[in-house]
Amino acid sequence: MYLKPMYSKELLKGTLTTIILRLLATHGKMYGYEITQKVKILSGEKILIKEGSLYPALHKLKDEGLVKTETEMVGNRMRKYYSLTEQGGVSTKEKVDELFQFIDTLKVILNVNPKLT
Amino acid sequence: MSTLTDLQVELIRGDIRQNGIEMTDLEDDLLDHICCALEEELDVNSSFESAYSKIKSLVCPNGYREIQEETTQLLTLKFNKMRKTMNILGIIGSALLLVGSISKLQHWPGAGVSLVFGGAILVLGYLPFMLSMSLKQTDKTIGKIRNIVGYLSSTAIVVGVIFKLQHWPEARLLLLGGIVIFLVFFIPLFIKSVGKEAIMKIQPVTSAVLLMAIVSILFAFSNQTHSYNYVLSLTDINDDLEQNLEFQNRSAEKLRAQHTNEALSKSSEDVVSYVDGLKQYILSKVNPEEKSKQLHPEDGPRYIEAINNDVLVENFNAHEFSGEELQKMLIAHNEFLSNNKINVGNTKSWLATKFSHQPLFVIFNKLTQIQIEIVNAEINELSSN
Repeated sequence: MYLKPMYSKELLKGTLTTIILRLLATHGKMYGYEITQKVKILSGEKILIKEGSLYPALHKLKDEGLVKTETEMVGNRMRKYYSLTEQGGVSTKEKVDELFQFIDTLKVILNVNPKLT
Repeated sequence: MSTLTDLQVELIRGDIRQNGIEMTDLEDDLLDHICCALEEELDVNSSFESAYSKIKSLVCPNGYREIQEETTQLLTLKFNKMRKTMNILGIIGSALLLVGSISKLQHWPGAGVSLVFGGAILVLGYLPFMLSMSLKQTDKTIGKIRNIVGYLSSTAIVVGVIFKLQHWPEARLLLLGGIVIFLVFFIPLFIKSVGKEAIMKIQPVTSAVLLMAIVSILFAFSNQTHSYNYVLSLTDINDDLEQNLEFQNRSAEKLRAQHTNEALSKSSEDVVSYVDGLKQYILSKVNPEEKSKQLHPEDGPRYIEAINNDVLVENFNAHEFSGEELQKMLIAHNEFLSNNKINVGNTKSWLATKFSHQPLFVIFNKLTQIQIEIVNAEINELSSN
């Protein structure tokens, strides 16, 4: 069920908040467990978000006012749904654009195919 | 898909709290998360216990507390620089406190300055900052109470150490109050709310500061510990000395009746009664109710806490006794003595050997010895004529 993630922790570190924001932008409100499962499926189990990184990141985003929460009772426990604030929506677009540009730049830098030079 | 019973959910909630999660928000997140994962796991693994321990070790291999620490770290990122500064200040402050305590006991210069500076850094800088940081880590009442109690007790202890070593009033109350609050309230609250796992992970800086403060307290207490028996033997000696003085006085009276040297006798009586006055003053400082000339062991080996240049009192800053007026009287008295003069010596050595750094009981005995010496000298002088 739990596979070893394919990408190193260092690689995921800088992109985690962007991934979370993007998911929330597409799916509206999501709770923590749902986010980890969704990322797992979408990435073909290549990216597994650790709970120890997810919740600190979510709380940080909430603190910055990019996401908001609403609660719902499931049995006798509380489920917290995270969704984007207006400011979060703007920020998501910026962060996703930035990441795409970064990927393009990385491709240029890392593409050392001698035929092209 | 299986559904957890209410009892099982409560069990997990208790375990999360037990392991040091104090932010309600985070607790709700984690509880829901663990429950979701557990419900899935229970489809393939029917034992709740083994399923829970498997999920727990997958979700937080290093314990729940780590997630909270990671979260506060992210949330207080902007304070990181300040945190480093404060840690350095904490180490400097407690080191100064320690150096000050040792210097004080060894009577090295600069002890007072180092103590007050070290204490001020801790009380005004490090401790309030630690309190504000620690309050951000918890939104539970018990956690807040624990942090405030810890802050108050450590402040009282540090201030108490300084007061004790500087002989300022109410030191004992501050120290005892601080220690009692720390032991009776803070430690149980700490163990109850933080959980065993987290105790092992106290910041090294915090423990270093704590350690140095504790050593300073030990020094503060060791400064004035005399056994009851020691005090008892000193009061016994003083009883003997007083009897001796009375005996000598009677011998002197007989010689005085011959009126051979009235000026000497007058001066001698003056000095003896002046010293009596000093003893009375000391007694009234120790116990205002006490009218007799006897010290009682229950009074303890105290230092006088009043400034008055006329009598032997402790100098607050230099921690020394000043007997300057008595010394002047003794020098003047020596004029009347042709031989067997009272050994006053030079200012420093006389004051230093007789009174410097001595507890009250010793001073008291020495005063009686001086009286005997004076009467003896008078008897010698009168009988040699």
